[in-house]
Amino acid sequence: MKEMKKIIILLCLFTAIIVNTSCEDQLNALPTQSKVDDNLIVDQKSAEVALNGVYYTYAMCGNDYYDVPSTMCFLEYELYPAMLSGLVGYYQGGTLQSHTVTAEDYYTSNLWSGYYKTLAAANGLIDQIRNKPDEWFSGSRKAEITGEASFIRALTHYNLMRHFAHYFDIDSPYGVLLRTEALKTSNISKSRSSVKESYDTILEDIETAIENCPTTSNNFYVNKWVAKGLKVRVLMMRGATGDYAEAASIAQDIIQYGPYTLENSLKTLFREKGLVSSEVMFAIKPKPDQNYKWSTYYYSNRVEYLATTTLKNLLENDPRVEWMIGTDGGDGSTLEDVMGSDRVGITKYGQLGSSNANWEINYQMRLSEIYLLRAEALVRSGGNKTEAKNLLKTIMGKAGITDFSAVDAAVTDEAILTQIFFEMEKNLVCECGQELDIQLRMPVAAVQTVNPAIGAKNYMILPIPADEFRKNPAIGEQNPGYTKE
Amino acid sequence: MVVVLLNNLIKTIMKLKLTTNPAKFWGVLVLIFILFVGTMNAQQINLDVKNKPFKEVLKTISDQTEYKFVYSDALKEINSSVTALFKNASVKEVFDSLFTKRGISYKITEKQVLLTPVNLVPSDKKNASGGSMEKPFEKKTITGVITDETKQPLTAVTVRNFNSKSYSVSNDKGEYSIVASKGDRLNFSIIGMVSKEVIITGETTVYNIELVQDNIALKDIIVVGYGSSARKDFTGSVSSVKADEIRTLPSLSIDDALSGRASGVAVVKADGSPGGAVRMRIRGASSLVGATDPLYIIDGVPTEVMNNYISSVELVNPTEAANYGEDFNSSISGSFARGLNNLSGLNTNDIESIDILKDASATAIYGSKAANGVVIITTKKGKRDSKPVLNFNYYYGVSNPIKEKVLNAQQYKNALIKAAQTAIVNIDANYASLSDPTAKMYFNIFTNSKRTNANKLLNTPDFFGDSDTDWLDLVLRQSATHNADISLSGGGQSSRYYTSLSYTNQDGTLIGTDFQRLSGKVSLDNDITKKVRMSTNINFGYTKNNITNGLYSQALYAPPVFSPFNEDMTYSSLGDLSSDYMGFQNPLAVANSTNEAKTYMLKGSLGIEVDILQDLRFKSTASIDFSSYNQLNYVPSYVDIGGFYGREDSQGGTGSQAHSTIANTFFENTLTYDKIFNSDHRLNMLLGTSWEDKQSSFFSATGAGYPDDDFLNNLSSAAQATSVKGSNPASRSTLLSFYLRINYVLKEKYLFTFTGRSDASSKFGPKNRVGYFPSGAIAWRLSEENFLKDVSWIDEIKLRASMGKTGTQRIGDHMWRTLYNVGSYADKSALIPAQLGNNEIKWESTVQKDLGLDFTLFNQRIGGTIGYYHKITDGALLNMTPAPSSGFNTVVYNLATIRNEGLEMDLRADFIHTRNFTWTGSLNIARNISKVMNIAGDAFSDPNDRENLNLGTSIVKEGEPLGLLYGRIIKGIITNEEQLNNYKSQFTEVLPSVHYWILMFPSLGIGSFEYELDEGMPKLDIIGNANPDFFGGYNNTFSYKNFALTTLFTFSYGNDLMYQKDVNDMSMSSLANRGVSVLDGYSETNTSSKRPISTYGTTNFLTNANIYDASYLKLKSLSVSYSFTPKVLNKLKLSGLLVYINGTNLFTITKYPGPDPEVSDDPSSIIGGGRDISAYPTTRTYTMGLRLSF
Repeated sequence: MKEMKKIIILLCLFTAIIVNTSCEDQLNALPTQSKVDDNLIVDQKSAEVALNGVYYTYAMCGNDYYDVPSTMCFLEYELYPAMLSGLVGYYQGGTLQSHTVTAEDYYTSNLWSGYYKTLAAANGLIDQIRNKPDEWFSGSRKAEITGEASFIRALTHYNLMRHFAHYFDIDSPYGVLLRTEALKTSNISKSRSSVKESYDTILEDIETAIENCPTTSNNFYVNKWVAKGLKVRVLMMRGATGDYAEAASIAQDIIQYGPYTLENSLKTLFREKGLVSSEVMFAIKPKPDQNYKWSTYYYSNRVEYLATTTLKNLLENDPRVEWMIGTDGGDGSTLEDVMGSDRVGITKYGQLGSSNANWEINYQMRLSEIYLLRAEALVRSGGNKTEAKNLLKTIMGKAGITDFSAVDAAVTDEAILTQIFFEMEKNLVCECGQELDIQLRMPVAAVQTVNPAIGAKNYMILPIPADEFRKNPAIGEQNPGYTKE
Repeated sequence: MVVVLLNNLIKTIMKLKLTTNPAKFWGVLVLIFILFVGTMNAQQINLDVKNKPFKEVLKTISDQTEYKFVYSDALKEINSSVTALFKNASVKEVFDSLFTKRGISYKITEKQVLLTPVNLVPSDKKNASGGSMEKPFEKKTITGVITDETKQPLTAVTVRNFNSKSYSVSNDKGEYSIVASKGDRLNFSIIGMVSKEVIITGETTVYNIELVQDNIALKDIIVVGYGSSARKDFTGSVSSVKADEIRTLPSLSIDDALSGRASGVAVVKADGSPGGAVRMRIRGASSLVGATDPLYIIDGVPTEVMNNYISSVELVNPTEAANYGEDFNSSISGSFARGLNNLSGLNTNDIESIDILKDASATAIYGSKAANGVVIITTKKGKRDSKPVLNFNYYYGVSNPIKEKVLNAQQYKNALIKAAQTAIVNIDANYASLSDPTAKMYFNIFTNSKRTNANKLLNTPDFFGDSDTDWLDLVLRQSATHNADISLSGGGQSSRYYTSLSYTNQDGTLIGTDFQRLSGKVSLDNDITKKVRMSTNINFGYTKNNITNGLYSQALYAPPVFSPFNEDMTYSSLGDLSSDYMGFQNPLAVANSTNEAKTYMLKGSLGIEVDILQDLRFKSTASIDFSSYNQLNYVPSYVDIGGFYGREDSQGGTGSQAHSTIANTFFENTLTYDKIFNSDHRLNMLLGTSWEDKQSSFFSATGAGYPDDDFLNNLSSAAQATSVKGSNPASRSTLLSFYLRINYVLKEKYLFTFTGRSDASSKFGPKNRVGYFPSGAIAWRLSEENFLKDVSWIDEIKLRASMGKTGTQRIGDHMWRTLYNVGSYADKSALIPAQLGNNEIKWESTVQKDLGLDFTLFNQRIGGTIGYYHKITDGALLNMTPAPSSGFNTVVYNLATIRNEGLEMDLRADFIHTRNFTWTGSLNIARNISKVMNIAGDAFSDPNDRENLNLGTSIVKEGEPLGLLYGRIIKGIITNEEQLNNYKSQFTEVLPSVHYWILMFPSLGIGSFEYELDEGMPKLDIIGNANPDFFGGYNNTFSYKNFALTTLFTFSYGNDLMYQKDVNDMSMSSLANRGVSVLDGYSETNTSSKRPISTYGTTNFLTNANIYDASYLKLKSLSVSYSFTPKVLNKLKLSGLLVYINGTNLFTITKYPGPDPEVSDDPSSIIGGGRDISAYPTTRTYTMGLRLSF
């Protein structure tokens, strides 16, 4: 029996040794290369880093084909809207420019998932910072960070709105699939909201941003002036009673009190100054060594994205034709040569043949846009037409135009709006989609001169990707005119 | 009582259904066993004393038995000292031995024992005379020393008295003592030795025994998890490979040497790369995202097969690009994946034994790592009391590539001219057949360049160069292998040692490739005291691989009409072919690239073993598995690299340097209780815990723009850094485990094994962190039953049944957490959501059931194993793409269920066994059938990207086996106009009246392939299955006197192989060279051909026409050896000398048209891997070697 006792004692000892070994800490060890929800925000500095992550996702940063870190958002923000607007075309054609996008299309899934990545980052931050003690933050920095994240969320919902929702119809049920909560596997499944709810959510976030964002900032971050600019855009988009008047007044507020001034030469802005220009309200700052944007516009020494005939027509007799578009001097050996295209590409950001830092900037908001929106809002709200025309002429003047006879000749609202429309198309092409937004506010006939492929408004917006219906059946209906598959 | 208890126990086992409540089941069993141990102990006396005072010995006995001893001072013997050894002896045995022998009489009353001198006992009849007595030999204590052939004492030999049913065990000096009467039969047995019996004659009480090694029995020790077992006691399924079987094989890695040697173990070396990777699957695969290689336990250190390659610059792989493939930038990564093997750092000559554990009963002790099987590799150790032995081995081998046959310059030119003519004729005819202007316009767009190029080829004088270069001859060579190793082993009474050092150098059959290894080991075992032992074991290795970067593929396609060099001795370009996106390049230029991998490996362990009690052993081991990997890549400025759209300029040379380290540390503690109660009951219990901590780090940097391709091409000379990455630590995971194993042997007939393991892994969330992996097995040695015991031709028949659960955890770390990764925006750090956590994920678990029959018959002349298994892997992890509006690309879920079932058979026979001649053979054959029971979502090819079907060549589908091949389908060759027109009209209309064939196959004509269409487009479907119906090997040995001839045949039946190069060889569609099979295509004179007509400018899809039956029978190895006779050896002052020659891969009988049906493009993938991509030719090798020992 003694032996038995010994064994039992030993077994107990052995077990005790094991249990006392504190392994639980190790098993719960946090990853070394990543942060997790629990430790995302531990002080002001980490909150700033997380906020920068929200900008990072908005800029759609990633590595290019050569593994060079780059901002990669220009496809989504610049080129897709320009293609939908009929101003730019892919050399092999495609469904965006022909408005025949389907739910299985690469374009639609690309846009859709890119935006929701940004929302996931913004929601994660807003959720995490909410319960953090105020004393971790100096001054009003906690509110500012929340404000900036709210702004990005509003801007992203706005982007989703204009590509995937019937935003032109306030009573429509076809609004945005809004994401305002931190994502979990349990809340992935969600239905789309109505257009009205979508506008309400976007404007609520904009109000938070206007209230909380810092007053000034570098122009690759946002401040309350940029938030106000977004509010102008959204009000113009909604166009409900009083919206145009309010938009005009907020635009005036920005023009009058904001820290921005118009650049004297549009060419100088794009070709030389870039982010240094005091006109730039918000832009995506490229990575130091990237040339992804340039090499996409102009891949392997040939133009991939062509200036369409309508863009060429618009720029006819405009001094901008000299520098905003250009040829690659192809030798007729490529497919587009055979098909009779003249291989004229976009040279707004630089020469086709060489990359440079300015090529890579993606502009999100410039003061010129605010001028043009105020001009449009004035006309639409029955305001001062002369002032509207003057605003337009100011902007045209910066672009090098000296002959204002067409503007002067415009008398009716419609004629003035058409002039504003043309300028907006030329001035803001390939920036952040404003050339597309205004097309939906204009009569179809007017738009067709620029965008002959345009049909019913249904087809100016895109179908929700088929994958979303497969994996989130709760989303509801597809946009009218499109199928789920 | 014991028997009753056991009967109850067995009944309990039978009643409890294994599946209902395993936890309860184990609990009950463990409890019963502990009770059982306690009951047995009270009955018996254990004594191991040496020169101890008699009084103390009596006290010890009192303590054990509760008997009290009574004696008077007249008992003089009480002051003597006693030496005795008893193990579980009965009271009577002990008393008889202790007292009667010394002339003490004893009388037991109640709990009292009265001791008196014999002469004081009241006289009885026998001693009435009182004189010196010639006592009859009644019960006497028999003593003696047991030794082996070398006179070394043998410890723990069981000495049984068959008549009295008592037994004892020899001590560490080989001494034993046992009580016996005249005529009793004593049996001396120990595992590994031939048992011996003596009959007590009564003439002496001292019997010194010498046992000889049992060579057959020796092989029958199986190394199992955390211990070893005699094969006869083993309840699980295991295949063992002994060092002797592979010692004349020139395998550079141990996994390669296992090919064809064990049933149910499928081994395919990926390609001919020296020291390259091997695809190994034990009874199918149990994971989709995780690795499916078995767990290797090398001297107790768990080792996982992995590919250390760190991604770098890429080159376009023309073979892959031919299938309109998505993944054609794979020349370098693919070559590294097939060319690196982290097991190749181990010197195969150091290996003592390899045991492959296959069923859950055997593997469940490794719990969460065991679902893919466990391979236990034990290396050599020094032997106790052996004089130093110095072994020296050397071999030299030559390898020849088994190569493809390509066109020579004349064949190439003729074939191309004909293909160009066909193209023009077809284009003209097809244009004429169109009436719609839009269709005509598009037709022109899609044929203009084809027509231009064909005309250029036909009408340009001197279009072809006038060289006739045999590119294959320029890049291939006969290669040499040198291997030398030396080992020294020996041991004394208290310490043993084994050390070795080996050097291997193998050139690859492709220029610029080779393998070098320097490896060795040090093993030291010390007995610190009688009860404390310490062992140190270090295996170390350095390997250097120069890896190909797709050079062979380049040589297969390089047109023979170009000479390799320009006049200024620079590398020539390949004319128009040099601008093709498929990346064709001058092979010799490509050969100038650097792709080097150096691996430093150290596996070390330090263990201490303490005998706490006679039967209870405690062992504590700390070990480390460390590897450091260095990689160097350089692509010279004149070689093109891979880009998004195919070939790209290397920007003045692109090079990278990378480094990674992996350190796994383990801390293990085990308690082993090994108890032989008596001849009916044996028990072995193991209780253990282990802690594992795995850490890795890496660093890599890439630069471009080098001043000089030959000298200043180190990273510091790069004009610009294109990418810098690194992390230390890059990952860390931990695993805490507890495990238990109980083996119980009842009456040597009924064997029971129960194991249980719990693993807590940092890879899972707190909720599902701990996994439980129980298993149980029962075996019945029928041959020990009375009704078979006397059947002389049966040696052993054993029926086994087992069931258990194992897991896999070779998945990424922290998959259950929502992770934020580091990036930067506006030159400042940023944290970005990178992964959506799913804290619901849990272990992938595999429940395996196993039935087996082991037998040896006719005095060991015939033996074998037949086994059946059924494995269900449930909750296999898969990355699902959640709704895109989540903003995350993947979330991991436990989704799939995979089933594997199969039959295996091993048979071995000793056909002829005479003094001079022996003939032995062993055959193994196995069949595995896998089925994907259910997966959520569509069929897929890439478990990391469920949406991606574009691995293009393989697919996973519900209800189908794993290993499916995927591609387009051809109906046949178009042989007439009607068929052609009908076919054209079936294509979908891309635009009104523009049919898809205009875009894709504008030069379609008689002799072209007709694809099966689905909605007017070529249909994609399953076109083959890479799994064999059965596979195995046959090993045959003839030996005559000192000669031995050993052959190994391997075979596989019913498996398909996708011959990727054949896609290109279907047609002279471009200027790239082709294999000779292109000449067999359809033509006016060869209308019965199954291969299409060559049409310049039209590439064919990968189809079922490129899938071939790859069944084969292969003479894998043949060796002849001669071992010198002791007479000669004595003269040479040697103790052993063996010389041998060996040939591997000597011939293959197969219908497969490629050079070798035994290849794999992706050894680590469970889904893919069923392709022959002709990246590195396999080899035929001849080796001569000698083994010397002093």
